[in-house]
Amino acid sequence: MARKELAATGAMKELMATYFRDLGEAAEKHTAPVAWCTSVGPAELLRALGFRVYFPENHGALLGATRRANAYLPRTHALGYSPDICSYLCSDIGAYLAGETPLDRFGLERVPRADVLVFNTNQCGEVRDWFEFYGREWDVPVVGLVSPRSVGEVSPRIVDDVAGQLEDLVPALEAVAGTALDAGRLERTVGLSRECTDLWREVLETAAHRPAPMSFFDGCIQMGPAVVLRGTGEACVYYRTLLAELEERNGAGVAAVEGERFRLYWDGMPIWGKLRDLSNLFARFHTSVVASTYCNSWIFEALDPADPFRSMARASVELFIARAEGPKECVIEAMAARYGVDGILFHDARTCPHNSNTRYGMPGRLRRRLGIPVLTIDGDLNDLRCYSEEQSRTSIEGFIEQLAEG
Amino acid sequence: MHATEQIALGIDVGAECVKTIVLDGERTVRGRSVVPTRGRFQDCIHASKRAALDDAALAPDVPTRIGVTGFGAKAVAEADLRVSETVSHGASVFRRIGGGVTAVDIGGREPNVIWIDEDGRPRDSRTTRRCAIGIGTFLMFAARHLDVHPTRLEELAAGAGEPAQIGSYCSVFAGSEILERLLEGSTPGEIALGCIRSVAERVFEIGVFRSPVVVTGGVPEYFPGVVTALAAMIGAEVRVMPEPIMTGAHGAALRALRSVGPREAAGHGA
Amino acid sequence: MSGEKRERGAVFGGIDSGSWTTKAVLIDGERTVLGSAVVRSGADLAAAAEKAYAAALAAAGLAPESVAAAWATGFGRDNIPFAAGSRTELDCHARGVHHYVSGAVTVVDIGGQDAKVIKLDEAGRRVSHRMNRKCAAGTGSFIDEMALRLDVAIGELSALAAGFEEEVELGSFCTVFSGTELLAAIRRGKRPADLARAAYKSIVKRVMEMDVMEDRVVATGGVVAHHPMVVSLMEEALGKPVTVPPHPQEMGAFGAALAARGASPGKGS
Repeated sequence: MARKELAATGAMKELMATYFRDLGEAAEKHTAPVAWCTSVGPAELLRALGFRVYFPENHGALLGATRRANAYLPRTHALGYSPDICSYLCSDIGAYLAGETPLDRFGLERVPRADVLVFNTNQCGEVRDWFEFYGREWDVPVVGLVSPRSVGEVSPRIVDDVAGQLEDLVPALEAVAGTALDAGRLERTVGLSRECTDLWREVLETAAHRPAPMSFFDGCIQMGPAVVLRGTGEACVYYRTLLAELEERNGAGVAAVEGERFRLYWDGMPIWGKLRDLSNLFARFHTSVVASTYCNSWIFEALDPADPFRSMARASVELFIARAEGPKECVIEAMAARYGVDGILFHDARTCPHNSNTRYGMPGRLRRRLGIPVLTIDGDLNDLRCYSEEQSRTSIEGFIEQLAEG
Repeated sequence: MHATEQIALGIDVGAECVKTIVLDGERTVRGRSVVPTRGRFQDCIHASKRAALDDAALAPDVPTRIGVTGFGAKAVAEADLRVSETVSHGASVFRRIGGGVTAVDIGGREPNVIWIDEDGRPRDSRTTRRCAIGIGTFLMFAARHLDVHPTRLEELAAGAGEPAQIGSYCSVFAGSEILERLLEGSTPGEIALGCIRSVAERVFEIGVFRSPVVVTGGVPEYFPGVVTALAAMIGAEVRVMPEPIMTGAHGAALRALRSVGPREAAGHGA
Repeated sequence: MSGEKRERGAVFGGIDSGSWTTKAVLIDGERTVLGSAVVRSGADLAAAAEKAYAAALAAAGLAPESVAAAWATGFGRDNIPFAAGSRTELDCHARGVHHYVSGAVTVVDIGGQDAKVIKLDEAGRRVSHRMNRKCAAGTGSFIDEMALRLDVAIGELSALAAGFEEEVELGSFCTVFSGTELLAAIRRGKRPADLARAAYKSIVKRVMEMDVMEDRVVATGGVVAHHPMVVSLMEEALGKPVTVPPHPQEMGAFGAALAARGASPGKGS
């Protein structure tokens, strides 16, 4: 049972293709400075300075989705990077060492070389280690924000600290960009970013409808522009188009999963190499994964063009992944209610502890508090060796059998 | 005692089998045996010794110098000398091939990558990460699942075009993968080929293979496909020691000889 | 299911296509086992299913035509052409156990490759299930390796372990690590009987880590069928009795047969 493709996807693919080609050209011909940025890093600041911004995590996801990641892992392990750590990092560096990239489909022979690498540790510390590899490789600066994790309440003190760090980054970035930061441009960029994420939120919320017009598996594909193009007008245009199509589906009662019988929430990373297989598996049992933590990670409600630095800092600190178990549980509880889910699936990604909320008893606590069944499956974002296919299929099927009897 | 009358035994007590080699004073191989390690170590060691001496047409009570190595070295009570696997493999490689080489010992449990310098000294021995042990053992497991004798695995693999995807995280993970591939309809040949490649990958992950590279141990003996796959991954030629499974025992015997008897001429490492 | 009588002549089949062994069970309308069989799965799961099914029919003295429907479960459940339906082994073990043991239970199924812990409520409905984490896999297969290393036939291991004198500890994180420790212990001259017991303990420890074993604990699967010491070790670890229902190895296949019966039209629920 194939996933019903959204008509807008064609436009999204073109948008992404243009983005990559543009990046490739900028890097090869030095027509614009290139900055690498972490997925929830200070992209707005970089865009406002005229950088073409590249997100290696997106490259990692592409390696995973094209099922090429595993071929590159041994090389990186041989270099001394543990197989227990981030498989985005390991597959990305391995591909680089092999001189290959799935971006070749956009005409790029290699990943775009960075003039500066900019991280934010709000999601994890490993992104810094990842960037430092390239920093050494290319002898370019690695700068960034050291943002707190396990944040309970988002206090003004924490926000001030991160805002201060953001401001401190400016001179170094200006030096690389060869231009001074224009306040108006930053304001506009932050404004566009906010608009993009508001639209993205609306897109995701269409799935609160019964039946849901899109699933988590759609979301993983559709979020591309929200990650790599937020802060641009094009991303907003795209999401308006997508939103219209989804609202039309809702109007006509068109479901992502025909005969939607059960609705689930997915917490944790996607298993990139198994999106289609999992999508088919759930569809086979008339189950729609209607909401997820992951897709909701690109909603930055705090962004405020009138107060760029502090609002970017706040958005960075408020992030789900940067929070303690308590706030995280509240978010999931609210989502479960909002989307009317029958059960929650937790994915424990072996090489991504920060996105695996299974390790300190949360699934059990939520099950008891919400009174709905939960399931944990073992896998990984990119390293398919860590995904137990047969176990997971049986577990998911068994979970749905259980829902059917309940 | 006359040099040629001097007999040295080298015993390599491995996780999968016990190897014994018989050398005379001129370092000529006079006999050899391989006995599976099952049940009491002492029994297997005893059986291997007897078989090797029989092979050499020597009486079981002939006086010998005994050098031992391997996982179960401590179980040989009558050893005159115990050497690590790094040293024993290094000694054999230096004797037969020379110095300035990387020796890759692929046996039952942990593979070892050993740089042997120009003077025959083993330096910088590296092994696989903790989770990737169990190389030869894994191939035995794969053979059981495919319902073939381990010695037939290569033959099975030879008939396949593409390898089935078998990861190299660990034997247990790969074990489930074998089952999954079977279910998906991969042929036993494709799976055998995938297992062989997977094992090579685990060795490759150890990293840093300075040419020339020589492989030793039981796996190259019975599974030459692993060597071919490894060579392709390294991107360089890989030699196989003559009688690779006997390397450890050979080196232990060489060391046993060296530890007694006339002084050697300078410059000859073993 | 109500107590309505089904046609006595109706026969239902269940096949459990596992990673190491394939089990087949035939039941009548009153859920009595008429015949069963266990064969090695090997590399061709569909063929093993045919073989097990034929053997069960032979044991029951029945022809294939007399079977109203056969359902499948287990690892290879989607690959059995003659199965009319399938359910996961989670469902089938639960169903099968509930037939023999009423009330809230924790089912512990220890198979060839992995272990599952399934919790049932008062009414026999599944509440949750846990499977071993990937690193702790290898149960029956670990026993195979142990038997090989100790040079003992698998069927004799439990009896051997019963004669243990010294409590030896083996790790419980991973099968491969435990395997290495076993070798090291053999090398140190530890007695086979002590090691056999230690290896069983290692498996039990891994299983105990999977979930909190509340209520009445019921053990199923091939490992408990052939290695009674595993059950007594579980009881020691839990400090309470563990129930072993009839035909624990064939429980999944039995449950599949029950599912086939439950799905058959007419005559009761």
